[in-house]
Amino acid sequence: MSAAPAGWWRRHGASVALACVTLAVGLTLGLTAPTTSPVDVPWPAPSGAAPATHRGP
Amino acid sequence: MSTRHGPGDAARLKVLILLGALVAAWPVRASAVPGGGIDGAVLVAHLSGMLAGYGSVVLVALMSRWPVIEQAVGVDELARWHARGGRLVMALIATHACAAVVVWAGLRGLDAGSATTEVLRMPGVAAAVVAVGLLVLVAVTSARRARRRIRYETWHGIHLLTYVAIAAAFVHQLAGPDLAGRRVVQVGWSLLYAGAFALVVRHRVLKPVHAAVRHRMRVASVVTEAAGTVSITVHGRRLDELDAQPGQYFRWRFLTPHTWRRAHPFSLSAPPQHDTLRLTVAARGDTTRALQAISPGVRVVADGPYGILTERRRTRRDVVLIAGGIGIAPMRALFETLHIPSGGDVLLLYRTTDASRALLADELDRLADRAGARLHYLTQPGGGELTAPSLLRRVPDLVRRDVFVCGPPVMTRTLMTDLTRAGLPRAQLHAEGYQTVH
Repeated sequence: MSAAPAGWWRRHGASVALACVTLAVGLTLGLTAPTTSPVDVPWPAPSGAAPATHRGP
Repeated sequence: MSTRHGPGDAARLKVLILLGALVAAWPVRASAVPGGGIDGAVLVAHLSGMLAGYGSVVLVALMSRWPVIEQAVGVDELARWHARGGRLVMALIATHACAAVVVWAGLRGLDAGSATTEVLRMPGVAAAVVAVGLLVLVAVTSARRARRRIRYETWHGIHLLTYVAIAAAFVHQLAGPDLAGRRVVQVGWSLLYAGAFALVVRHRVLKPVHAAVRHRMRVASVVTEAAGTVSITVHGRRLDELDAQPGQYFRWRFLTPHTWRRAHPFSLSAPPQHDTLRLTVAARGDTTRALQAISPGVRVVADGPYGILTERRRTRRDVVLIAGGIGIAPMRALFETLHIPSGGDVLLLYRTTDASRALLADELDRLADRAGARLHYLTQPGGGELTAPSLLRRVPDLVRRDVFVCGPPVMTRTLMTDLTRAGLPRAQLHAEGYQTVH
């Protein structure tokens, strides 16, 4: 490896590693998050209309 | 580390924060009632929850000590944003909790007590309750009256629980109805939180550790400047890599049995050299008294540089520097290095209780003579008045100059307001109040 890339990695290697870890953690958390909410409930429909599924608080 | 950030970055930062707030406001869509219209209570519950989550992550990022933010906004302004933002997030959380119970009670036809019990039993809500409990503890101990009664170390330890609270609240948010099942939003939200926490790890943990290892700083000498004030010269390796500028400060941790637990902010009181930095410390409490007698050879960890009082902020040919108390330290460093162009003028106004007790006076007099700059001592009472009218009498062209201010927080804030009202453009006013270190 030439001197310039070695210098670049010495200065920015930790930042790149941290960015990779951040990306991995963010993706893992997002992709393993719950797919349904505990508060998915039938929403009371306006009078006369058929009940529709909606999300609560 | 680059420190070339200016007021334009602050504007861009505000735009980014507002754009993010709009993203967090997307539950408006989820609150639409089938058949048209929006349910007000549902909207309040969703919106306050999402904005509280977004506000939390913004607060984490703002306090991460990321140089881009610190340089663009300034530490004083950041502290104000942090205090206001913290109160706003707490209000949003309270609103979210109340609105959620009201909506649930309406949906189920329950009274408030039964609805609260059902809501608390929902998955993810236990984490939210833990988060709220911790945040209330942090808020209570951060109130001014409580802060005066507890030791800094205790307060700081409790304040660190904020990170635990925000992580717990994040678990609740991922399970909430605005995010659950929406994979793209969940990944984006998770990346936002991971990014903010990475900034904290990078700038509050890894950077100081790296600096300690790379620069290996030690106290080189201690010189008494006046009764109860010393200048400490710190020697280290490759200090030019820090890119410190005259007028900036570091958070210093002196590794002695009495002082290692806490890092203190002290400005550089002389321009940085490639292997030395100098700070000036006035005895104001236990720690600063201990530093009066610190021995050469003691290891030092310095985190920084921070601060906006640098020549890079300069926009005008002529400059006025205004210092109060120990605020003279960064002004003295700046006074030595500010470039004076042909026909230009640099004036240092130093407010002190008594000219004979002015700190670093010999150096200041020498520097003024050498550079052809002007130095006025404003001694109290009488000449110590620092208001826009009194300054305009001394410096009639004040509003056409850059003005740098460093002094006690009250003096600095008052002067900033006064000078702005007197017509000094905000871009020409560069001010930082120093924190009193005990």
